Amino acid sequence: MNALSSSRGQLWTPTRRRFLTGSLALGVGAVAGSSLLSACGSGDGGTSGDSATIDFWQWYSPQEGGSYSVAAQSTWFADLADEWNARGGAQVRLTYIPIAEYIEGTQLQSAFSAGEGPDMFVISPGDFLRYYNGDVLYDLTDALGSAAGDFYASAMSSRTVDGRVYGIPMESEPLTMFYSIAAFEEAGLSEGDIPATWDQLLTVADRLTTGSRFGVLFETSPNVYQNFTWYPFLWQGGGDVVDDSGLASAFDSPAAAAALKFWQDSIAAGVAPRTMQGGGGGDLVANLASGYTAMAQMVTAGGSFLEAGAPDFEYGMFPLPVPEAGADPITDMGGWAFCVNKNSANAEAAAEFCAWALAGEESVDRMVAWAFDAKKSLPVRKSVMQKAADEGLFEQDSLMAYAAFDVVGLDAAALDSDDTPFGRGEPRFTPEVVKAVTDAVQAAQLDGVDPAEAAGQAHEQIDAALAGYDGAPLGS
Amino acid sequence: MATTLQRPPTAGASPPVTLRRPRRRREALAGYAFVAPSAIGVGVFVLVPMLLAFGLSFTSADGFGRTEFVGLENYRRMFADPLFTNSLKVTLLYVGAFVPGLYVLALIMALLVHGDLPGRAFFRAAFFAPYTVSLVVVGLIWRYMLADRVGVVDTVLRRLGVEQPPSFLGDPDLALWTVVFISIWFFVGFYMIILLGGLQDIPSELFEAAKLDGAGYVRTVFSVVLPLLRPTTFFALVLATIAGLAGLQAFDLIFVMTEGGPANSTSLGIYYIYQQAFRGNQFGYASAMAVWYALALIALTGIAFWLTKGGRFDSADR
Repeated sequence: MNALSSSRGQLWTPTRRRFLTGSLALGVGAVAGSSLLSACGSGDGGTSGDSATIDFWQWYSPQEGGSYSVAAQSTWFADLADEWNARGGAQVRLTYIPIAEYIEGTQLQSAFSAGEGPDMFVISPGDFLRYYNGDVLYDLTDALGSAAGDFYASAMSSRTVDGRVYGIPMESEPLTMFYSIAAFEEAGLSEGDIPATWDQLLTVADRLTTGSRFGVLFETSPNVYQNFTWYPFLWQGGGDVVDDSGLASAFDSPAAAAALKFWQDSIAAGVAPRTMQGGGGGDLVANLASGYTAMAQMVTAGGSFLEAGAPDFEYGMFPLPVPEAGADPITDMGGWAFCVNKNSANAEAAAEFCAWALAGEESVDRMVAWAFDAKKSLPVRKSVMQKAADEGLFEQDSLMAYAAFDVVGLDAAALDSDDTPFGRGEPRFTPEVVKAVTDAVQAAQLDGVDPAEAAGQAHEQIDAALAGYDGAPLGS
Repeated sequence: MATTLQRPPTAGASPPVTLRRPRRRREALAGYAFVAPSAIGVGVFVLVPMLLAFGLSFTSADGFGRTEFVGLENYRRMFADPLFTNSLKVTLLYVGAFVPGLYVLALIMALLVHGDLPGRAFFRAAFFAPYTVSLVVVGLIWRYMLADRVGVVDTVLRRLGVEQPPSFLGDPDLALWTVVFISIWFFVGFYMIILLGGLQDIPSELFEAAKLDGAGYVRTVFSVVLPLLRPTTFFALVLATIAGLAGLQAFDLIFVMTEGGPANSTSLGIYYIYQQAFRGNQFGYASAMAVWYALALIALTGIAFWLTKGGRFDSADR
């Protein structure tokens, strides 16, 4: 039978009536179908109580591949969720968001704007004020209890407002310099040539620069990560973005101008690139291991990304160079924190999970594993640091020992001290202040604007942004 | 009232046909039914968001549910904001280079593939090919190709004797023009097709007549093709202007390749709006800027329609 024949064997002829009737039926069907699909899709988040599901957004797990992919980190998160879920009660569900989308994308913000924010999520200090001032962060102080005292002050300060804790840090990631051993050897350089000052860095970078390789890399993309990597150079000269009150600009300073000039000089000398490879300046595999640059700035956790993404690549590290010999190599300590959505129906259970995961007594071994085996970031708890020292892990892991004692300057004999001589917690700023600093860095670094002038303009922008500001204090 | 249509007189005169009201109504309903899917789509996904954005532009909406009425404050702030002024300047430069560049190149290509070019079908497909690729992929590929020192463009330039090739995406003086170039490269095939459609509507007799009159190729293009292509040109230019101001490439390419940098040199209006909304949590302010751009676009299009009488250039079309 012909395909265009009806069941009664008559030829099917497309009349207008039939067409309209069919179209109408299709339309109604589509609308009804989409409504049903919508109905199926809603109510998935679970409700408060034993059967609740805690939706946990982060950029670690479950994942495979990608610039910042490390299987051990994904596994650590999966194990964490499994262990919690095996206890019964509210169940944690991990939702993976790619890092680029997580940091610069719209997914998290859009979810909150739609009133559908996740129950739990991770944020860096750079984003803390957006969410705190947006009044969506749950107060974790009670869930944390006395365990708060176990955390280093430098890690807690940017997550605390008026003595209340709104994010529990899971790590500390101090910035350092990485270099390619092969590039050094090729240029006839050795460990004795490792630069200690800004001038030395530019000189060494010049020797490492070839027709197809840059000597050193500083972040060039205009975003909060660029600011994060530039702050240490500002601090090393005694400068800061805001004053001690955290509510007024301190940016118009010789230190700011000097730090801006340092990056400007690296571009002007042709030893640093104007653009990045791969996922940005922090993507050591795409930038350092690939041979695009011989030295690059990144948090110490970059070691884990190199070992995962370029296992045969030989690299070394050295503390950030300083303006003048003898100055303290102050660095910026980033790191992510667990936060809970204040408006979540499962906020209390999520807070309990946060405290159990990161602060409880039984979590010490877990956090040692995160720091030493998965991320190569420093523990933010004194007890975890002490446990690692007691087990001799620093002797076994030179990268971690370097990060703790050379980069941050911890005293091995006083790991319970809040004193982190060279390490300063990543500061928190409002988006307007972040943008003002970014614009100053970009103008000086890439547009040749006089550094002092760029600092002055940013100073005015910051003061204007803070004129009517009534949120939490800025800084670290 | 019933409508009566007189049929032309035929042999064996038949009675006049009368269209009764129910039938007219049914036809009207049919018309609405055909339009409804598009109308609903435009209403839900364009009109309603536009109205909501207009409403938001008078508030201090922060994206976290707090919305306070602030009157015209966002509009006042807009013109005191140097970054908005910068984005406006960047947008005008971008549109000013993108639209004419795109049109001229698309026209040349349309003329090429309209004639007796050997392998015409291949070239039509090849010119159109970039348009079929995702803009994000386009951005990533170009970023890779334009990488300083190691990119293929840099390598080729060095082999051609350029000692220090420029940083196409890292130099504030070059980045915007690089984005313009890539935007044109991406879109030119699509506009070539539009103009080719217009070219194919021109009767071949006119080309033959021009040839008999002794007109050369260039004279034929200027005296025959361009005048008759005016309605298509009008459509293409309006479309390109809208694309330049608010099109996908104006956002996607910037997002992937430059993030508005270096030094805000590629911070197009639409990207700055995104930054204010999703990075700065200034949804009210971002909406005010969006409204401003929408009104500017409507005004520009309106002026173009008014000047050209809706694109109908010849009295016969009116």
